[in-house]
Parts: sequence; C-alpha cells; structure tokens
Amino acid sequence: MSRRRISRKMSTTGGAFDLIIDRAAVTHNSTEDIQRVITLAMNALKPGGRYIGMDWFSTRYEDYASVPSEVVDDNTRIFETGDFAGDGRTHFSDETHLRELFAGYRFLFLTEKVEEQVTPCKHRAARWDFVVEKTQEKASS
Amino acid sequence: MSFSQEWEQLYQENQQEAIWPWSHLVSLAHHFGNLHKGMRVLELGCGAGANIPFFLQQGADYYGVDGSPTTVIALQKRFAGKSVHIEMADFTKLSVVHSGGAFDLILDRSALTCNTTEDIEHTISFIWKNLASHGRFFGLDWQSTKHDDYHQQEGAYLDAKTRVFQTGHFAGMGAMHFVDQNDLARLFRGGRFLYLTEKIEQHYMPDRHQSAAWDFVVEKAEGTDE
Repeated sequence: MSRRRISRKMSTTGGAFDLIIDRAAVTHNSTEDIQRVITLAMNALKPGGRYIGMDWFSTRYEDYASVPSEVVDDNTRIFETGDFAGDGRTHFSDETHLRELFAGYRFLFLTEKVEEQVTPCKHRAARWDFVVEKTQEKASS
Repeated sequence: MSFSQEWEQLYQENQQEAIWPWSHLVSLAHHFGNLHKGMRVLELGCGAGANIPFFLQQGADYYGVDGSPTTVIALQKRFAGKSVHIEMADFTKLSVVHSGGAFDLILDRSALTCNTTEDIEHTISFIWKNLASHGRFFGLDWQSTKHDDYHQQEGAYLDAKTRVFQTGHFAGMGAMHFVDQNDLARLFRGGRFLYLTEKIEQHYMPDRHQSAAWDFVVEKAEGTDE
C-alpha cells in the first residue's frame, strides 16, 4: 500500500487497524506533531486495538541535559553533536509526559530502559517501551 | 551443580521458543564481532537457536552447545545440511569442542549466568582455551545485582552470588547468578573489556519492579589460556 493510501485509510476509515507499531520513529518529531499522530492513531485503531511504542527517548538520556542543542519545544531538541547529531528533531519523555500524550489510552505495559555504558566510554542512554490500548469508552465517544 | 534440568522441562513445554536473534547481540556483533565469511562461532547454551540464522547469514561456521536433548534434536533437524553443528552437552563440563581449531567468537546470551560461580569460572577457563588469539567473548544478559529479585528474602543461596528461587521472575529456572562490575572484572581478568554496559529496566506496568543485566565483550589477551 502506498504512503498516501495508508494515510487516507488512517484518516477516513476509522477503526481500520488492530495494531500500530512505531519503533523510534514518532519520537523524532515535535510535541505538536506527536500529538497529531497520536490522535490519528486513535482514530485508526479498532476498539481494543493497540499501539506499541518502542525506543522513545527518555529525559534521562544523557544528551538531553548535557549536549548543546536547539530547543524546538519543552521536550524536543535538534543536536549538532552527540548521539543525535544529524537526526533532526528528537523528542524526550518522562513518565508524566507519556501518560499525558496517551491520555485517551489504557497503558498495558510501560518500561524505562536505562543503559549505563562503562566501556569504551561512560555514557547513559535511556528509552521507553510501552503498549497502550484504545479503550471501548474512547471508541464510542 | 551442572546444567539445570529445569531448562529441559521448559523446552519440553515449549516455554522457551524465542526464534528471532536478540537485537543487542546483532548490534554488538556488527560493532565488535569482526564478522566475516568462514569465521568460527561457538554459542554456549544455544537454546531454541534464535541466533543461528543471523550467523549463517554472515557466512559463519556455527557451533552450538546445549544441555537440553529436546532443543538439540530440534535444532539438528531444523538446520540439517547447513554449516551448523549442534552438540548436546553441559557446557560447564567441557574442556575442548572437537571442531578443528579455535573460535573467533564465543557467545553466551543469558546461559552461563544460570550457573554457580564455580561452574562459571570453569567455563571461562574453557573459553580462554578455545578462543583464537584476540578472539572475543560476548556475554549478554548476565543478571546484575541491581535486579530486584537478587535482594529477595526467599530463595536458597548456592554461593555468595548464586541463588535458586521458588517465587519471582526466576522461579523454576534453577541456579541464577548475579554480578556487579567488580565480579565481572575478576571473572574475566584474563581478557580486555571492549564493551561493558549495565541495562537497568524500570518496569511501571503491568507491575512495578526493576530488572538489571549486563552486556559485555571481552577480547582474549595474548598468552591467556586459562
């Protein structure tokens, strides 16, 4: 299916998908664009359908606080150095922010993965994995 | 202690049927594996064979050892005719694998950590003897002392760092060994660490707990054979 057809299917059919997966893709956008995607996903999922988000960057990622960057919004940065150099917009979440973004969903799984690298150099990476479900209530509203 | 029979039971009951290569292993192999056609790879505790297709795709000559007859028979059938050699054995009791030479890479994804300190030390001696000069050992998902379950009150101690649990995440898995950074440095003092990372997972849903495990790559130093 082409990109345009997928987009059309998501925006017009309502409830077309059982599962939407996103591995470190949506997290490379601004907060506003992420909110738009989450709304689109909500419309596209069947009642009880699930969204799997993997490797969303955490605010505990070392680069978030320690590498100079251009601030796009409170949670989104653009880096010229460090792990995210050349990646464009990179969004960072904490637990509260994730729960706010996915307020219309029910969390089934939520884990923060922190990698404390010792060798070859000291460095902390941190990411979220989560599974949320579109509730019946949300589907009928 | 030796191969935990609990694992044979798990394989018989199809409880451990992971068939996709572990993503951290793939990442480490590309960064530190010196991948090349004809390289000789040995996996300790190859389980259901999740990592075999990845190494076959690299053109490796793959050897796997596991103590479970169920999984060994299944793998021998599944990879018949391929450059895959599976041996049924308790890898903590091995001295030499009859494979015609030393290995470029020996790997263990969360198998060796299911043994006592003494058995692990014996296996590390085996690793040094069977690695080629500058060959590398990959250890993945070795349980860390930061894992919540390590601090559980219930559960027997087999030695200072090895426990057997009747409840919790490791119930029914037999011996479970936990390490901190100093333990790893002591166990692998004959090698040079190229990579060492502690992975701490804070689980919020469906239940709150912390799991923690180590990934590491050690290169055999010149003259290390025990």
